[in-house]
Amino acid sequence: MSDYPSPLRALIELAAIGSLGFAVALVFAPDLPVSITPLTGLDVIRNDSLRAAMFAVIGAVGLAWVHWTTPSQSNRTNTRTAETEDRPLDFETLRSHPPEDAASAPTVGKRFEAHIDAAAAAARTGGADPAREQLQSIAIDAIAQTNSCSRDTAQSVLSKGEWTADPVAAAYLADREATLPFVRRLMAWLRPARTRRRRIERAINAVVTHLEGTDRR
Amino acid sequence: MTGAVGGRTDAAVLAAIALVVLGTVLGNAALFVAAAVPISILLLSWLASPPSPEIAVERRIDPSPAAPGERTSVTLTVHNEGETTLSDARFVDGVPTELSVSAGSPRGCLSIRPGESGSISYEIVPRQGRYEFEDPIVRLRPISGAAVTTTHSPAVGDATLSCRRNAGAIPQLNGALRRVGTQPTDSGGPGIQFHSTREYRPGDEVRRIDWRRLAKTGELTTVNFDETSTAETVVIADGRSAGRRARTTGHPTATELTAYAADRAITALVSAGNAVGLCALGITNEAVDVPLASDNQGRPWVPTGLDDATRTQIDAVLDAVVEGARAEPDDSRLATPSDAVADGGHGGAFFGLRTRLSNRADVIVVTPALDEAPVSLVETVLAAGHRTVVIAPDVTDCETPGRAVRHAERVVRLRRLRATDATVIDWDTRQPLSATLEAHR
Repeated sequence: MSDYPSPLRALIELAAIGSLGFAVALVFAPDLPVSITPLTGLDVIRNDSLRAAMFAVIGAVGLAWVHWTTPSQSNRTNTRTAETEDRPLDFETLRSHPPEDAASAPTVGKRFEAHIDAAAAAARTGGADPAREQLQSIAIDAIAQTNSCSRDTAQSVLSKGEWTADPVAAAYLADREATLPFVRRLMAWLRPARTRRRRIERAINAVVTHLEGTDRR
Repeated sequence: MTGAVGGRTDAAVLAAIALVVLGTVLGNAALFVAAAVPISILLLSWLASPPSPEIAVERRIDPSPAAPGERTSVTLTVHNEGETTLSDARFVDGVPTELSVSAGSPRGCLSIRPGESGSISYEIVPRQGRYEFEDPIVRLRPISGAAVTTTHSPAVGDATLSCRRNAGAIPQLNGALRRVGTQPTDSGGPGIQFHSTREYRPGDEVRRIDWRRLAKTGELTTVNFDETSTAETVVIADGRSAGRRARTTGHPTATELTAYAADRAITALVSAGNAVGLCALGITNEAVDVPLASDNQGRPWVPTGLDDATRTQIDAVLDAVVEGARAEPDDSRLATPSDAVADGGHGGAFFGLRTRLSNRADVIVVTPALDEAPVSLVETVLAAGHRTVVIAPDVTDCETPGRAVRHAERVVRLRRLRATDATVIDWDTRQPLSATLEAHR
């Protein structure tokens, strides 16, 4: 526990209070600190550039101060908020380790999300898309089941893109993205990773919608 | 406890210094006067004292004990026992690191008058085990906000969450489970449930004579009851590595929910007088704490029975399944031949299991159906002529692309299972198991 400020902090705050007293004295007794008056003749006051530089320095010091006194920094430097007990009491700990989150554990779908990341990275380099083949297989199974047809027929339906109302998902799974409108091809060229990721998500949604739609029927 | 003046006044220090210096250098009286504002804040912070935490905190966990995957609410109630209003009281409950919050928040900011209470509540979805809650962290500030008290406040009430397999409701046998175990037949005979009456024949049991009819009409008749076919039931719990994944971090894995569903199904059947056995996939016989037979392929096998010894063996096997569920899933498929056996393996791996099943055994397969092996298993069991029920705990959804893909795969798989003669119960693990089983007619 630390009820008292550090010596440095106390010194600064003492200086601030002293300065205030001095300022008040100037306001109520302007003739008292005669020695101050010559200051107005200094170069730093007369010269615009120097005055601007002085303000810049003061601003930089202010920023440094704000940075120094942010909670993450103050844990190390500011004894007024630092923890001295065994158990961490500072809320900063709760920011880095939120109580809502549990320790990491394997979750469903993590591996496929790694495929999506790899596919997005491959879009930048022109590499193979590891997610597309897996999604194609799932889509073929889904179409074969819902249409009560063979996998070959389902493959044909998938290639024609007739199984979904989403043309982007259909084109992605049919591997004919080159037939998409110019704007979509342009977007894929400008933002390849983001576009690839978005198309994978649309393809997944299309497959799920296809399955759920037939479930409702 | 940490009681201190907060660091919020640091900017005031800086502003005061800057204004005074500039006022002095520039000879501007307005800047001097303006410095009075941050200085006042500084003085206020120096004069402020941290509020004393005169509070009583109580934690309630409902239900306790909880079943794996059951939504469990935690309520933290704070009573202000002091004489002053707590204008800014912030609380963060000490949630065990193994658990994640699924709804609500364990954090709260309250304003509590003297003698009054405030509360925060949140929900967790526990895994099997015992979890100790830490004391909540409390941070109090006076109305000026210039000082702060931070402390751990001991909570009375529930400090431990116990999550057990046997905590959930036992499903009734009038739902999906009526398809397995002892079944009524079309013919009448000795039993419990009324079937018909017929003319008395010498040798009929006295207790089957319809005495009421005899008193009314003088006719001697015999009551026929529904006859039942006594069948034994074998539960196959899928504890393979494919299911060692949870919906989200902190939630129970599919394998843990499989063990829970198997436990509840077995309990329901045994309580109705059915002889039940168990086989577990994904673990070896050696992983079970009690001596046990195997299914000829190294997997634990508990022969059908109704006695306490059978129940002890079943519990030991399910404990081993849960223990195995805490291991990392093997994404690289099966590493060694022994793993392959324990894991259900490739084609023909269920042969040993099939040879263990008696001809009159019904089968309940409990599997999350996160890969193709359960489809082969069910087809193998059905081909051998066993009535089969599949209970499939669902840990997939469409919240993330990865989970949505697994959801789609699973939907396809369950449709294939439904296309067979098996009865398939898709258990949304966010709903109670007993309700799902009872709703399935």
